[in-house]
Amino acid sequence: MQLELKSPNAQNKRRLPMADDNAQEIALQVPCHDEQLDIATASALRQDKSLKFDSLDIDRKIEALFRAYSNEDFEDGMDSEWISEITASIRAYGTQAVEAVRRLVLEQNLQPAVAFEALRWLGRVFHPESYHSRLFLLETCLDSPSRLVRDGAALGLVAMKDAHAIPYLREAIVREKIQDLRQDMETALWRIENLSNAAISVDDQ
Amino acid sequence: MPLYLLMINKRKWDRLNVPWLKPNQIQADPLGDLRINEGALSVWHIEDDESNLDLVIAALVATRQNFDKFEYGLFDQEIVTGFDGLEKHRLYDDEVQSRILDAIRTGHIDLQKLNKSLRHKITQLPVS
Repeated sequence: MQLELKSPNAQNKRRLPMADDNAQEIALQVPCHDEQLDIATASALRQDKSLKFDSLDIDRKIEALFRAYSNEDFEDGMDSEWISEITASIRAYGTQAVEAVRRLVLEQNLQPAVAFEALRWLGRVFHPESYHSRLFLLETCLDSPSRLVRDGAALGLVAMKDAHAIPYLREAIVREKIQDLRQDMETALWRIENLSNAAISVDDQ
Repeated sequence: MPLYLLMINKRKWDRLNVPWLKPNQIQADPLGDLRINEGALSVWHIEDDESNLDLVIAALVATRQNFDKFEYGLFDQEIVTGFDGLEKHRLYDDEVQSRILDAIRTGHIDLQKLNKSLRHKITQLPVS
């Protein structure tokens, strides 16, 4: 984990580093005596998970998380440390964590069952700041070679109930060759088409 | 004719094109859903008119901690022929939720006897 402190004295102002969800580093602007920032403050900043860390660190953390639970036997409806961990990572690192999940899933270097669980829960986590990146990830994953990834993405999209996903889901249905999965996608599409407006207002608006 | 209900992982039952299998042969994945204990496969009896289906589902999901999808298969008592003998279903979490709430309203499930986590989630639901 690296914390980069910048000190653009010319601007001489402090900007909260969590304002830009896409920031790749901490841009902490402080008054001209920034070099006097004491160790305790720096340590406290490092503890604050809402800050933006180096994306490579987050990639490693998320990948380690996926590896740690790769042999997990998931049970519908039951609490799971894996789900707690992945949702906590989304809340802590926002878009960067979603991007890390995207890279891992698209590299197809994961146990499909773990990816399936992650994707369907990405649609359920309440974190408005990462909403659009999660939606984009799930829409992208509808095109995955893995049927579990495609199904997990469809379930995640049902949870988000965002009408934006409708055309992507329609295309996925046309492409889908597994009959049962295609039927599940058609049900997912029906649910989004019929339930989208109410849900958006509850979850993310 | 009465049916049996079996909890399944729906994706395990997808018919796949596995190259070394002959036509009508199935891959081994569905076997993972047959939780056999001491030679017995536990299933739930469903009346032929499916009149107890919702109650059986409510009873099964009431043992959980969260509202989550519920996937099950229904098959005929007389035949266990594999893929084609099993009718597969998926209920989404809101449908699971409504099954539980209906069963509580009708007195088939005692709210106080539910898992603490699930009970808490039910009490947090908006009153309709």
